[in-house]
Amino acid sequence: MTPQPKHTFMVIDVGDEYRDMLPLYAPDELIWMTADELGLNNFEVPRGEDGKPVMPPGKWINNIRELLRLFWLNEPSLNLVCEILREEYERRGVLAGSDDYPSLSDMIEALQRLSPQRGSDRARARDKLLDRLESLRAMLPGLDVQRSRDFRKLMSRSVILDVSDVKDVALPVLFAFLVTLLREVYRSESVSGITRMLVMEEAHSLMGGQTDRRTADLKESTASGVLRDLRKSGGGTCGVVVSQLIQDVSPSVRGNLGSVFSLKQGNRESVRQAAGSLNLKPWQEDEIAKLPNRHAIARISRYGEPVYLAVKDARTLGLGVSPTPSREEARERSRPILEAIPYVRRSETPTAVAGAGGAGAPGAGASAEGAVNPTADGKGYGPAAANGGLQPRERKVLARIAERPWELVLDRAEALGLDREGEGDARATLVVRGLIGFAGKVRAKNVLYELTARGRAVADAMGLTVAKTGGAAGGVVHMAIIEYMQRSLGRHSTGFRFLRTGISPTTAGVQPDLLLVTPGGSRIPIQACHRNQPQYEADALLKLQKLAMLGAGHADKVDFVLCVAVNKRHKAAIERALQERNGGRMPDRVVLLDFDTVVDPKFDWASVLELQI
Amino acid sequence: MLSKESFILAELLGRDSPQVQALVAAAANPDLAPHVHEMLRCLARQRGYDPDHLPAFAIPRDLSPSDYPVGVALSGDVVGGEVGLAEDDLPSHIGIFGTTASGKTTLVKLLLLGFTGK
Repeated sequence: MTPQPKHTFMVIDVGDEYRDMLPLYAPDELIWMTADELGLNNFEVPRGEDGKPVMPPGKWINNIRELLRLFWLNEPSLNLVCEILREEYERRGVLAGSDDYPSLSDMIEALQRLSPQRGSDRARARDKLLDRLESLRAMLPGLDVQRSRDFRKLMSRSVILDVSDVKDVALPVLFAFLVTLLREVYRSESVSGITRMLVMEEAHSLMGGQTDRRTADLKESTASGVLRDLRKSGGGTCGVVVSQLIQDVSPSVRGNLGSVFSLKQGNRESVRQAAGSLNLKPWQEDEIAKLPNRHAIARISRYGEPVYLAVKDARTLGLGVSPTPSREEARERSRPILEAIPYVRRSETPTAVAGAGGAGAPGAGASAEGAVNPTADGKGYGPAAANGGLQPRERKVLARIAERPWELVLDRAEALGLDREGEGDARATLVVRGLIGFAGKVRAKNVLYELTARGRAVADAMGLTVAKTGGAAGGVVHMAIIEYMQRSLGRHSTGFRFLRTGISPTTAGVQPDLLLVTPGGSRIPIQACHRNQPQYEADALLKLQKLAMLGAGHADKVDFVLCVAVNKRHKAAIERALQERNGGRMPDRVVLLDFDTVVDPKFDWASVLELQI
Repeated sequence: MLSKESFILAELLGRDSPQVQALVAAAANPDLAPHVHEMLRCLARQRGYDPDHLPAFAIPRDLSPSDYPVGVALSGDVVGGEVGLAEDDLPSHIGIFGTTASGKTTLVKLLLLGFTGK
């Protein structure tokens, strides 16, 4: 009798919602891990069942190229990364069968050793590439390892991969890398039936949905291709695509779905799209918007017609009966299993490289030494004192960004007594050296920077004050909005008080980011809307708006809710989402502004505050 | 010619049923159409529906046991059997969509528990 194949799953858990499943499984049946613990090197060719690479290294470069495309790299930089990777493979003997694969940090160091002519196309491609790879390393330190974990062993049990700490911009790369591994590792296997489920929560953020224009053009080529490939050569993997808004998942992805469940949909467009996917008849469409919680309409081919169902209570299966382990408990529980699937961190000892002095540190990145210390000819990077390689101007800019990452360029230049060009040059140097990286954008051209893992190491070595950015997606943008909002309101009246922590008016778990208390005792919750998810922001605002509308209990002095979007386009998107949820008009007592307006010194706050209070 | 209400009744009762097919064919005669309508209402009553408050969805005729059940079929006040996915449904992927707190994650968890035999 043939043994029944073991059924496993992997959940890419964007919202930290699956830990409650742990008590239902033995520790070696289901492991919980964060992206930091992945221990996978995307420059290493994955291995098959026999432990040998599944393809020649030269061919794997094509996969790397496609993965980095998801991080907004285009031709000149992509060509350069392929060239450098091929050189590294050759230098390390990988092409001749060695398994001394370069890590992400090794690739960054190889790029830093290049010395293209300043201002040339090659220099620009290198700078862009360095910027992206540094960002990738800071966002996904779990991919910066020398030797990967055995992916097959990892996937031989069920895995909850918690990516709630990973920034949105890095998720498509992580997702595409994991799926590429699945596809390549299991490609040659002939498995009968489905033995593995891959759950993609918030699929639109993993695959790049309509709300993320930067990855929109990649949807067709990756997301749908990935699902198609999984079906054809994923070794019996079934994808479960989960998303709030059906229209955020591209039609080509939806075309790959055999069974569709629609729970309640919020707006007319979602209802229309869901009705199409479910093959509903005209008189059935209205039901989608009226579905109670945990009721769904499903299209499952063997039933023929769409079916209306009440979803089972998960407690009948034991879910939620035992207490959910904390993140630490979950980590401890899975630690022995993960330790049995080792990976090799980057050596803590600086590796001597001919003509250069690269340096490494475990996991997150390189040490302070070697990161900022050019040799006398200004080309290589050799060991020296921690701050010896930076010019005074660069040190000043680094210190300012470490302490105030939310600060806009002009303000930083003014505070440091530099002209804009001088500040820009110093900042560009810091980017090239991998000390700071892209943190977000406000207004049209104001890019915010934060320290990379390497930059933090340098800042620590220099004894700099480093602001806590929370590490969450959009953390610096969020801080920028709050800081400038407070600054702008402070200009209007010196009598205003601002509270940031321990703010009492909360509702349904939503706490305002800032609370303005006027001299008259009015309290105005202020919300910074930094997420590129208008629907989410609108929901949070409506919860806060209830405070103003209730006018009772602890909220009796809340007059209105003030919220600030990242830019005018973002504001318009939130406005639309609010209107959709409020019968086509803006809800009362919600004032929506954009960051441009708030930072304008001429902005007349009186017109907003007096009209509303 | 079927009236809109008769059409919905026929859909609800299942157009593949011989009884319904015969009635729909008879409705081609305008003189018989009102009678067909009444007969469809009778059939609906027999199946447990209130013809004045028709549900939008019917209970699927073939509710063979699912490998991975996730819920029960409903049609108005009528409760059908378990609904879910079968092994044969899995090779093509699954989509689950819905607003916040609508039950998406619960549905996924049920599916995973069933899939792993819990």
